[in-house]
Amino acid sequence: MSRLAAWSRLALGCGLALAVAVAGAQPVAAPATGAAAPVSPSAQRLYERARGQLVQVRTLLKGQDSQASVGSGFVVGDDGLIVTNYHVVSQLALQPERYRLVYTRVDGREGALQLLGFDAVHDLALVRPAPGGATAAAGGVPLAFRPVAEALAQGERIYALGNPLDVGFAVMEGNYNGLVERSFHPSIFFGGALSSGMSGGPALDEAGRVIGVNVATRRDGQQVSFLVPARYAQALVERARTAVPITMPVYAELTAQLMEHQEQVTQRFLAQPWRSAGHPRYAIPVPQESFMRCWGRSTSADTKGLEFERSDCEMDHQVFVSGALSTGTLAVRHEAYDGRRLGMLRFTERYSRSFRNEGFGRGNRREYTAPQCAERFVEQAGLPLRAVLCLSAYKRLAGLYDLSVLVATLDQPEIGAQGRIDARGVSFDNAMKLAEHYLQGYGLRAAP
Amino acid sequence: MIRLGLIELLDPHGGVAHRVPVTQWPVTIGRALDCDVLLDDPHAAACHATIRADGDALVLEVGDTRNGLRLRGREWPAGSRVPLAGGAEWRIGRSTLRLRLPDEALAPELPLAPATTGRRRHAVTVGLVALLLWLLGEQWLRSDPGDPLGGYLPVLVGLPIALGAWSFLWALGSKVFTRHFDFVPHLSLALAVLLASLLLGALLPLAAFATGWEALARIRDLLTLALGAALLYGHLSLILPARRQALAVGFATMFAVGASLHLVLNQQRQDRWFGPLYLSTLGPPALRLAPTTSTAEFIEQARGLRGALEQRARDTGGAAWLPDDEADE
Repeated sequence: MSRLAAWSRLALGCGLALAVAVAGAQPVAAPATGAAAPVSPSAQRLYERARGQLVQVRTLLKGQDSQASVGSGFVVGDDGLIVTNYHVVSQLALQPERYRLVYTRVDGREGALQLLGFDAVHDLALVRPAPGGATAAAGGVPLAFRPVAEALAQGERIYALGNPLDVGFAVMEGNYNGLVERSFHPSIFFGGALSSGMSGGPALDEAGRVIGVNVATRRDGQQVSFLVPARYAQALVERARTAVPITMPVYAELTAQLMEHQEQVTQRFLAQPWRSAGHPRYAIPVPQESFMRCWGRSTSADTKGLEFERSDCEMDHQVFVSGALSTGTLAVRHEAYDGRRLGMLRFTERYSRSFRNEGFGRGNRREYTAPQCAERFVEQAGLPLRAVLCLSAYKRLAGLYDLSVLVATLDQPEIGAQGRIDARGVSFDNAMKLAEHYLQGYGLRAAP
Repeated sequence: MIRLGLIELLDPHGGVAHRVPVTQWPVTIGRALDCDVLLDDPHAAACHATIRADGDALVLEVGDTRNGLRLRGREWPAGSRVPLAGGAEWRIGRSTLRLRLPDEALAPELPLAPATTGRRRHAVTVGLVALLLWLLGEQWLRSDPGDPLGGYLPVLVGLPIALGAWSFLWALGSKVFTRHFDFVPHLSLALAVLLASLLLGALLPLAAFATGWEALARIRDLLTLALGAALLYGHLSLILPARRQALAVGFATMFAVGASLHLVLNQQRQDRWFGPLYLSTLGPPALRLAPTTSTAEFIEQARGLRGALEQRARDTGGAAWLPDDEADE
């Protein structure tokens, strides 16, 4: 089975802060996001009020002081704490010995920052100016969060602030479009333009209260952007405001957060029954679309060769860990083949080729071990299967694994189905539970 | 006149270019006109050597020469005296000479090369047809019903041309070194090895599928390598029959080195000695002989991976050979 690329997707988060290096060479690296409406009087008023709380957050390579990534942030509360994205500060979080963090205010003043805490799953981080330095706020009143109880209505005007592409501080007007459907964690669908470098900047309502944090945009769409709901930022501020600044790599804390995330994902996933793939002979596991998105495809009816139908289901949400590592997702897919027009020999050749055309594990040997596999002929509910289960362990996030299970039915000479589940960043026990759950989704359907 | 012996002047390929009958000893060898064996070699002295009878034995005396002569793997300078027996070969300058004596034992008669027999030709034809059918069968497997027949043309035309050209080039080599244009032996060798590798390449994975014994599919790479080495060895030993032993040692060493390199690269890239990672060939369901297991048992088996994974996860230094960029992306 080859991977279907029906839609390309911006990896959540990693584009915003990290694509800046590219953007510097190509000022139009960000898509021309349609004609932005001229700034309205309320945007102007809002920006005037909030600009003092706005900062650019830059990660500098220690020693040569060149910037490794650029994002935005905003001052909340009276003690000068700054909220930004985890992916804006991830280099510092993982390699504090190589990077340092600075803020730049709208008036151009700079200062060093310390990392207090982070929430990698929601892509948030809390930083504060190093003691002894000036406050990061350039005057005015710190931003406040909009109370959770006051829900926004679809279509309400909201304003995203930040420093796009390191060009200068800006306000982008757009609309609140509710939460992203089928997202594992709630994520606000912002109908407006976000560009690299605005990551970590605030999104404000008409009253200037923070409703979310800029985090990502879809590059294949127009003005389809995403915000982290403010309540997660608020929770992080509450949790980490008095924390000791981080000076060591945060792998242990990251692992703990990812462990909790994978536990939630696995439990919610295991609690769901499989959907039917609609195959006349086989029960093939297809996940519910509550937090996954499925795409289907099939051969045209007049094909002379192998007929197949496939479905690809994947979670949108990935947890950004570093530029080389995103995790925390599930994907399930299958292909059902009918080779009765081909005959047994030709069908077997294609069926085998499709089974061979599978990759396991990711090449990066610093982050993952090489995959280790178990394989057997398995009989599940009367259906003989070839099952291959491969696992790679994370080297720096101890206890997390990438799981892949590949299955091919082996009961008919001219028809068959092959399927696969991929779970990234799960514990060993959950990997086993997911694999068993997946295999149990197979079987022979009772004769009609 | 009694023929006491014969002195043969050999050509560079070991054939006899010129014979000088010996009717009396001593025999002088050199460039001077009064020599019995006249050499046309600028690296030979006027009177380079003399063969004398010394009682019953013969002795080769090296004359007044700066180059000396070479016999039995040794240099003999001017003034040396070397005992000679029938069949002895020595080099003077760039010429090779051989002494034949009536009492020397003859090598037994060699059988004719089998290439010339009709059975060999018959076998080659059968092999060629088998190979062609095999490749056409593979092409048929890959095509869909109703595909144009033109797809078979490259196989039908390409295979005989490729095989013919391959054997022709090797036969040219034979012609240069043995003076025989051994096209059929080279062709039959190439055919045999090609058929063997196709057969093994197809049967091993299927056997692995049938028995559930994955190791069968994993030795395929090494077998292919061995067959490749065997093919080259076979061609070269047809060209240089005298050097068969040295070639065998050479190719065995090459295979050993190549196989180790292959295994080490596998180990570095995939953390395993033998690829592929999983048994990636599926046969028709009826071929499966191995029993099935239950899902629970399979998961239990997979739990056994944990120890190895945990150990490898701790081994963070294992990727030191990867360039930084590759590891970071």
